[in-house]
Amino acid sequence: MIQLKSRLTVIDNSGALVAECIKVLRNARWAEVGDEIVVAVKKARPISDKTSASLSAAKIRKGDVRRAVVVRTKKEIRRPDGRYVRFDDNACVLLNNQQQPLGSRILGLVAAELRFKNWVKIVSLAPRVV
Amino acid sequence: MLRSIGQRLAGLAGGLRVPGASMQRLQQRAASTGGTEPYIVPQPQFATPLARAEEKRPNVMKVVEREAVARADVDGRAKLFLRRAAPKDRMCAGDVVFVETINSMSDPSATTVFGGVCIAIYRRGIDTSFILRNLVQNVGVEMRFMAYSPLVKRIEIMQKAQRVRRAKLFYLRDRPGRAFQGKALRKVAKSQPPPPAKS
Repeated sequence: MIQLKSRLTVIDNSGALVAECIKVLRNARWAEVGDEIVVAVKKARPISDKTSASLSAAKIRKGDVRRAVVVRTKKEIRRPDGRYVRFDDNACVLLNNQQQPLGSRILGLVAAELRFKNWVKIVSLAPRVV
Repeated sequence: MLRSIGQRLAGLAGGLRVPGASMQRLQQRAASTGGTEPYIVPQPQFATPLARAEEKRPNVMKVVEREAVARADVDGRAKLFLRRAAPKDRMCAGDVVFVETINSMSDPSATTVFGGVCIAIYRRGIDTSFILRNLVQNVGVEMRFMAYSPLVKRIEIMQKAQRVRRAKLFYLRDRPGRAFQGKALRKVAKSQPPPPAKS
C-alpha cells in the first residue's frame, strides 16, 4: 500500500538509497508489489570522482525524479492459494523510461508477484525471490 | 419407462466424459439405490456424524466444520492445531516450523519451502492459519499459511518453543535479528534451496 509521500528503500545499485513516492501510475490510490510509481530520490550515495568513472549510465542524485517499481511492501500481499506475505519494509527498484532497471544489480529479496506482473529482468537479477 | 441409473451408466460406458468424476465413482454412487432408481442418492462421507458423546443435540455447523477438517486432514496435520494434543505434537507460538508448499496443482513436484518461527496461530476450524517469521537476506519476512490448504504439502516442527509466555509473538518484529539466528533456523535456511542460477 504505497501512496503519495510513502518512503521506500531503493534496493538496486543505482546510487539512490531512499525514495519518496510522488505518484502512483495506476488509477488507484495505492501501489502494490509490481506496480510502477514515480519517486523523488530523498537520499543518495555521494558521487565522488571514483564512482562517476565506474557507473557508466545514470548518476542518481538527491532530488532526481524517476520511475520505480515496488518490490516489497510492509502491507501483506495475498497469494491466490490463501497465503499472505509481508516484509519488514517497503522497497523499490528504480527504472528508466523503457521500464528497465537503472542499476545493474539488485541487493535484497523481492516478492514473487513481480514474476506475474512481467518484471522478468528484476526477478532474474534478484538474489532471492520469496 | 425410465431406465435406472445403473442401466444408463452401463450404456454410456465408453462415451461418457464427466468432468471431476470417474465412471467408477458414478457407478459406486449409483449402487447406493441398488442401481434400480433413476437418480443417485448421495452417500455421506462420514456414516456417523462427527459429534462428541456429550453433545446431545450437536450443532449442524460444528459437525460440518469437523467434517471439513477431517476431509482436509490428509496427513494428520490436524494434530498440530489441536489444543488437546500432546505438547510435543502440538504447534505452539515460538516453534521453529518448516513448511513445504506446492506451487501449482498442475505440477505437484514443484515445491517452495519456507521456514521460520511461528509467531501466531489462528485456530478457526478449516480456516486455521499460522504465521511464520524469518529473516531472509536481512529482511524480515512473514508468511501466513492456511493449514488445510491442499497446496501445503508438509508442515514440520523443527524445534519446540522455549521460554515463550505469549500466544502471539508480534513483539519479535521489534527485536533485532539475533532472535532468528538459532541452530534450528540455520538448519531451516540450509534446507531451503539455493537461489536459482542466473541464466
